[in-house]
Order: sequence, then structure tokens, then C-alpha cells
Amino acid sequence: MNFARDTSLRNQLLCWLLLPLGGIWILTACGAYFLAEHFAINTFDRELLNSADSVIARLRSDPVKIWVDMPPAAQAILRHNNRDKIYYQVLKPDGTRISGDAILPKPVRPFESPVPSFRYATLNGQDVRIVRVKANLEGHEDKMVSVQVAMTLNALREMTQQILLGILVPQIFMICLSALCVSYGIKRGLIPLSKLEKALSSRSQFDLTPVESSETPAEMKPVVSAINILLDKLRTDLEQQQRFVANAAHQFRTPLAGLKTYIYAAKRLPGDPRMTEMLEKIESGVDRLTHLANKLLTLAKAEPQIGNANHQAVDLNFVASEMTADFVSEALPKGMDLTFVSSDKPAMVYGELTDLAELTSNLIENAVIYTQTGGNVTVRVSNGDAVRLMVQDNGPGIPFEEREKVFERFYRVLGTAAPGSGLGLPIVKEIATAHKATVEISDGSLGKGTKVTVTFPCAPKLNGNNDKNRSFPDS
Amino acid sequence: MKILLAEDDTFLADGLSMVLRDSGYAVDIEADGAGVPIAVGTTPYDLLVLDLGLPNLDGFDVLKQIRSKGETIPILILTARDAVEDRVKGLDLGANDYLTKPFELPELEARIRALIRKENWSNRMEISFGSLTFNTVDRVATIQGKNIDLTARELAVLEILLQKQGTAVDKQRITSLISSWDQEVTENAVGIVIHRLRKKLEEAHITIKTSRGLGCRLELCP
Repeated sequence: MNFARDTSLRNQLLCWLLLPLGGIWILTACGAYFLAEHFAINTFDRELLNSADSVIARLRSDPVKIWVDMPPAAQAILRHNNRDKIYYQVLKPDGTRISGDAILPKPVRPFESPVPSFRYATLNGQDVRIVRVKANLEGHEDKMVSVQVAMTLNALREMTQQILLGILVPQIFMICLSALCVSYGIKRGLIPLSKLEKALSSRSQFDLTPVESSETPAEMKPVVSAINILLDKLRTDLEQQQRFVANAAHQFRTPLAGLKTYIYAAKRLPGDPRMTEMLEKIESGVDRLTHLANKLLTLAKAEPQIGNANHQAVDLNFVASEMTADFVSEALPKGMDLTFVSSDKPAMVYGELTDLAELTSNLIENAVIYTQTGGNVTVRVSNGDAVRLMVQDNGPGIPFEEREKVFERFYRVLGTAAPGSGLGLPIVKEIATAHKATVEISDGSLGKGTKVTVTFPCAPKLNGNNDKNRSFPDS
Repeated sequence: MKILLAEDDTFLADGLSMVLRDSGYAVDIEADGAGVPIAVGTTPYDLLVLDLGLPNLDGFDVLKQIRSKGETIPILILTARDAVEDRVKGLDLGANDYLTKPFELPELEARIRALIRKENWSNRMEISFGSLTFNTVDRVATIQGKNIDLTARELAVLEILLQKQGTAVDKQRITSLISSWDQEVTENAVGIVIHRLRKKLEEAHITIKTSRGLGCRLELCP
């Protein structure tokens, strides 16, 4: 695992706190093991030495020989041990055995030191510890013997294990507890971060107001203030861009008016009919440019109002029926069936009346323009689980893979013959987003044509009483 | 009929003045905002077509200055600003109509006719003088239902004389009303226009009497 690459602050903190804790635990465990063994061996060696002393106490001698006075009862006392086997041996300085167990290994080196020496050995496949003590016989200071006592290591091992367990178990417990504490502490400590994340991710892309920083911890203040500086720059940029688009669209108007004037003047001159035809073509081009400039202006105007708009409760039925009526004059010459179906109960949405009208009119305009002569366009408002505006036609439809792209500015579906600015649906999207509504394109009925559904969030019920009483100028 | 076109975009101003002159109006162009109130104060224009985005003096300030001087000239605002607030402000500052660019020429012309009809003909659609009838909508003069073919200048002079309904109009005034800054008309030229007009009106037993020092007026032949 490469922790340096892990971008989660929580994981990094956990890792950098828990890894050293684990390391410390291993170190203390090793230390505890050696300490435990050390104490256990000390205790064990004392016992071994005791046994050797009791053997020495049983040494008897006369001028001729040395023997050990070890009656069976004494032997039983000496060898009495629950877990370990005890062996003993009394040797002459030359190494010949005087008494005791024959299986004990002979001392490795000649024995000089008066200090007892300890060593490990293996006896009958069992590990033993052997003590070797030099003893002078009473009354025979010149006669020396060495006594070896061996004991199996069961008790030693048991003691070591017990000491070790006694240290390590509470330690494991403490490590786990501290890991829990650390993890909880990190979680608590990172709450402001996740608050910030939520505050930022729930924003609309047009909400460029500074992030609230009064409750931010000191460590995060620079980040928040950097974000706020960035937001401020973005807002200035966005405003500049919107101003630019609006100005540009605005600046188009006067020359367009000039063009129209000259075309009008030229058409009044008597002349070649082909010239008149060309002038009409030029005029339709100018009209398209005019349309485009107007849409661009609408788009630029739709953007900045987001967030600080004059929202009011609006009955979508009212907007949709008015807008449908506006397009009757365009649908009739094409022999189209343009229908409006209202919802049973009022479909209230909270929004900007003119923007909602613009949204609806763009959708109906698209349907009327792109649907063939004699086609059907249905504008429907429904108020079920949510308020929906649906505009459905039986025109050529929008291919599935194009359905995201048509919301991009100036994108036009390939092979589209009908005139359009490429801004209608982007405006719809823009306004919908400002109203927290979603726009979805699907197939029309029987898989033919296009159905655009705009789903609005429910109007807030807080000031529902006021809204109910609010009426519209023409409704 | 004399129109002052206050527009700083020469492309649009030239085209508009061309169209309006073709329709028989005398048109002066003023591209400087500060010059507009002065021009209105010194020349008897029948209409001011005002763009709001003028250099040196903003269109709204132009409106304020003109109206504060007590000028009653009809004013039509022609602008790229289409916000409701701008329309309301413009009309409340004393403009009589508001049209946003780009506009349809027939509509602009109809509005100009309507404003002038209100101002000069008190909203009468037809003016009669003897057997002569003048339609203020189509700007067509007829004698017993028969159209008289008039040139733009002849039409302009006839309108001036008809507005006065028999009282005399100074020839100098006629000259100034049908000439514009870039198309100066001499008094002699006006004399020729009046001479031609007199001939065309003979059929209706109407003559144009010229008296030295008093000017011209329409008169029924005895």
C-alpha cells in the first residue's frame, strides 16, 4: 500500500498515527519478552542453585572416598517438582562421576571458577538448564568436587509466557483503544472539512457568493479564503463574460437595423426580379442574425439573475397556455395540430415569470420549427409527484447520442434543415438550472419524435399561503 | 415634413435618411448628442427620431433638455436598449414613441406617419380643400377620387400648405422645411416646385397664390 499516494486526509492521518503506534507496540513487545525471560531465568537459576546447594549439603567424605548421602526420601525431596525433571551429578575434578545421574553431559571445560556457571543443554530430547558449582568438602579443604544439577525448562517457559501475556494483552487492548480514539478524533477533527465539502458541492454553478468562514478552524481558514478569492475572481470573470456577450449582442442591433433599412430601400427600387429575389435572401439572412443576437442577449440575461432573482409562485398552466397560444399563428400555416393539455390542479412552481415563459416558448418554438408539415405538437403540464412541463412532437426526433450535446451552445444536429440559432435548448437548460429543474429528452409517443420533459422541484410550502392568494394579471 | 434623425451610426443613419427622403421627408442627421437640443431649438422639425446611445450627451439627457425648454416636437426613440425600464424612462421623459432596433421599416414609417398625423393633422385621416382630398395615411392627394402624381418635394410643399389651410406660408420657411443640411434647396427651386404643383392642382380648381412679403397659400379658383 502506498500511503503517500492515498489522497484521503483521514487515511493519511490514521496511517501516520497508527503505524508508529504499531511500531512502538512491536518494540515494547520485544522489550517485554526479553525482560520477562531475564527475570524468569534469574528466578529459575536461583532455584537450580538451591538444588545444587542441597546436593552439596549431602556430600560426605572420609579420607578414602567421597560419597553423597542421598537416601530415597532425600532424593524424593530433591526431585520433587510438578512440572520439571531434575537431574544431578557429583564429579571429581578429573571428571569421574561420584554419584548421581549418568546421563548428564560432562562439563565442557575444566572447572576453575568458584562462581556457579549456567548453561543450556539437551537431555533425552528435552531442553535443560544445567548449573555447575564447585564445592569443597568440609574438613577436606583440599578435596574438590563439582556438582551439576539440570532441570527441564517447562516452568521457565511457562513463567516467561505468563509475564509476556501479562504485559502484552493489556498493551494490545490499549493499542486498539487508542486506534479507536485516534480514528474517532480524526473523524471529529475533519467535520469542518466535510461541512465545507457539502457547502461547496450543494451550490449551483452560478452561486459565487463567498463561503461562510466564521466557523472554520484556523488551519482551514487559508484554504477557505483562497476558495473565496477564487470565487470572487470567477464571479468577476463571469460577469465580464456576460457583459461581453450582452454588449456584443447589443452592438449587433444597430448595424442589423442599418442592413434592414438598406434592403428595404433597395427592394423599393424598380429592377431585375432576380435582384428582388436576392434581396429577399439577404433579408432572411439578416432576420436570422437578428434572431441569433436576440437569443444571445436572452441567454446573457438569463445567467446573472440566478440566485438573486425575483422568484414568485407561478402556475405553469398559465405560462404554457399563453405560450402555446403565441405559436398558433406559426403552427396553422404548417397544418400542424398544436395542443395544450393542462393539469387537473394548479401546477405551482417558484420562479421568474418571464424566464419560465422564455423556457416554454423556446421548447414550443423548437417543436413547431422542426416538426414536419401536418405534424402534432402537444404541450402538457402535469402535477403529480412533481410539476412537469412536457413538449412532445412527432417530428424527426433527436438521436440518442445527440441528446446531451443539443444543450451545448451553438450545437446543431447534423442534417438539420430548419433554421435555428443553436441557442434555444441551452437557454432552456440555463433557465431550468436556475429554477433547480431538470431537463430530459426522450422519444415521443410510439418512439417517434421528441419529448422534452422539464421537471420542477415542488414549490416551497413555507410561504404557500401567500402564494395561493397571488394572482396573475391575465388569469 | 422635416425630420431630425439623431443617430451616431452613419451606416444606419444614411440608410434611414435615404428611405425617409424617398418617402418625401426632409431629413437632417445629427450624430452628436449635444447638438440635438440646439438643432431642435433652431429649426422647426416635425419629428425627432432619437437614438439613446449618442456621444457627448446621452439620449435621456437630450430628452430632458428638449422638454425642459418647452419644445413640443414629437419624439420617437429608436434604440438597441429593449429593457422595460428603458422604455418606461424614455416615454416618461417626454418621448412619444419607442421602437427597438432592429426594427421593420414599414413599422417605423407607420409610426412616423402616426406621430406626424397626431401633431400636424390632429389625427384626421383625410384633409379636404375644395375638391382636393389628401390622405394622411398613404400621403396621397386625390382630385375626385383620381390620384395626382406628385414628386417627393411637391408632396412636401403640398403638405405644408395644407396644414396651414389657406393661410400664407413664408417661402423661406417652406425652403427650410423641405431642405436638409446635406440637400440644400434654394428659394428658386421652391419656386419651380410651386410652379409645377400649381399646374397639377389646376384640375381641382385650386391655385397657389404667391404674394410678395406674405408668402404662398392655397386658394380656390373663383
